[in-house]
Amino acid sequence: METAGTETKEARELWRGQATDADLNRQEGSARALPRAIGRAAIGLGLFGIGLGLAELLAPRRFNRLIGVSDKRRARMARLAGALGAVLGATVAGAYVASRASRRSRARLAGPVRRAITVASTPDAAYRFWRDLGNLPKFMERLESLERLASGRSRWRLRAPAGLALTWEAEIIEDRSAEIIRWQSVTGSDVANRGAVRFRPAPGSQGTEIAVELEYVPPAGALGRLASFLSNEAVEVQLERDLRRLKQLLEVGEIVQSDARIRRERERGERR
Amino acid sequence: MKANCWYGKRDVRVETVPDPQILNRSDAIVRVTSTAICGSDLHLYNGLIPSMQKGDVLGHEFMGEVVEVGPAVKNLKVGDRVVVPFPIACGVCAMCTRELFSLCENSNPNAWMAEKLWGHSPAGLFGYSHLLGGYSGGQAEYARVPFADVGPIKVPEGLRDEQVLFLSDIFPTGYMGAEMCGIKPGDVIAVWGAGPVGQFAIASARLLGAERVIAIDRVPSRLALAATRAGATDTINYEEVDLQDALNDLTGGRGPDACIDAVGTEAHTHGPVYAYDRAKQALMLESDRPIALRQAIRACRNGGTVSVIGVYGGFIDKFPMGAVMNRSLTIRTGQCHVQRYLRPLLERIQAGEIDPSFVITHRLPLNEAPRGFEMFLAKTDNCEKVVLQA
Repeated sequence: METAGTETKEARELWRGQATDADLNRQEGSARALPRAIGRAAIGLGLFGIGLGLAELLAPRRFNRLIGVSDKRRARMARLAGALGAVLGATVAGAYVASRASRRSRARLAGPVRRAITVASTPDAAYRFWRDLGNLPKFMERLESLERLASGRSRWRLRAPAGLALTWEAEIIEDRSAEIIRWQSVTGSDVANRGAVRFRPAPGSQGTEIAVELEYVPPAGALGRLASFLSNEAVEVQLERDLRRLKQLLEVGEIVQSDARIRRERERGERR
Repeated sequence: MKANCWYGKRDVRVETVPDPQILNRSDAIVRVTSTAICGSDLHLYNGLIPSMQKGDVLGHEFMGEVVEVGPAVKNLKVGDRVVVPFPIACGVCAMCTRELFSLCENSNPNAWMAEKLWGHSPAGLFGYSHLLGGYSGGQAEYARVPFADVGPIKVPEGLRDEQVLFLSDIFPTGYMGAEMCGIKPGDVIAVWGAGPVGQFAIASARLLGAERVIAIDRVPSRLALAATRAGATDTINYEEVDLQDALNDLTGGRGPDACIDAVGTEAHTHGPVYAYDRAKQALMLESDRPIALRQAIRACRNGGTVSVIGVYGGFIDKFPMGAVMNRSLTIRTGQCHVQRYLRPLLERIQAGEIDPSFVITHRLPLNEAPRGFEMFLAKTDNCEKVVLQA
């Protein structure tokens, strides 16, 4: 718990612009150290295992002398152990590489969440759809409501797990037609956040690239414990889902539904 | 309604499930009259495709009668008899406008899952895991068909279900496999796998003008079907002869001009290579057994094309990239863009150039779908293709 608290504090400092580069490096360093060590160990073990196996296969006698085994039975045992080591080592290294091959680079785990999607639409039309804030709950799954306030600000209400909700007020701080909308939350928000959405024409008249960037500080206290849905990973998936739904609205005119939805609803109904 | 549902490895059950509903304005509901078990359904049956959930309705080869249409549907009306393509495609996104329908950007609501595995997401498919949309399949009495104006093709009078059912998948899939070979007069095409898709790849290669087509399998009845009905000029049973030698003999040492892998992830062979791939698969070090693909690459002539229509799900091991690079091979692949082929292939059927029903060996009522899966997997009674009638 203490670690989590420290991290939140560091993130807050980062938020206020008080964190230095050194702080940032320290934070990233600790997050990276463990997987890196596991990776090195796995690869090391793999190489060692392969080496051991190869030595056993290519020059069993000399290898046995080297490791001090002379007795015939022990030599056989050692050969078996070596071969097993090779298999085990290759297995561990193989499993590690397979799990890494589809993962994103570690650099992506720090800093703001970014997602982009290309939509068959003009930058102007896509911008106007987004700028009409009433459209946002249509494609942002977790956004329960968005209320436009007289002050020009907007009040956001986000569905959180266990029937809870997170709310904040946001103001638009940069707004250029068919180009960019940038916003940030005001003080007193459940989730301090800021972000921007950019619209630019895709090359070769392929439509419009819509790129979103989000930064946020998960809430502290009771809400914070529910904040796993606010992990960078989860937010990135949510953002991807939302952008896909936006694309469906702009291209097909409605959100495309899977039969899986009916089943989910039915199962939820049965549990109740 | 009754539907064939997935429950786990080698466990499918016909159950009563709720009827499908119109969920989008461009949906249609089809009363299924004929549906089939696909070789790729066996990958689900064997538990090789991730993100299946208990109770998922299987089946992506189906046809039937339209019984309900959403308010936005213009091209179909109640009573129309249609064949439904297995990829779900919106018809308006960048991929659909390029006729790459199996890559539709709007039809997979779970695109993020596919992106995690493959980098980008293909289209949603009927009855083929949540990774590909979680859509209910057509091994059922009724099925919901999204984008009903884009996918389904109306069947002209006078054609039986069995003649047109395979337009849903295996005929276009085999055809695209042959088309990707870029066949020129005089070409020799080798086809790995004489299952239903392989049969249509062989038949299509002949339709597209291949001089010779070599069928490769280990099941004698399948090789016989390839020779007598699909039009293979030569057959090789790889359990009886050395495959590479046999291919070199048949091609004067050049190798086939193009090789079609109609086998995919669950390839078989004999000896240590098979043991190796089974072991790596068991240890989760590779998800697919690329035995046919390795052989196809090795056999293909210099500068030739390897066309991959067998399904792969994840990672393969010992991929002979050196052969591909140094011998200027071209690899072409993809889930079939069925919508692109419906009209021209229907015309070929109408013209009597091909009767796709030649692959059918078994007809069962929908109730007996589980037995159909068992038979198809074990190839009992020379099972080649099972059609289920609802």
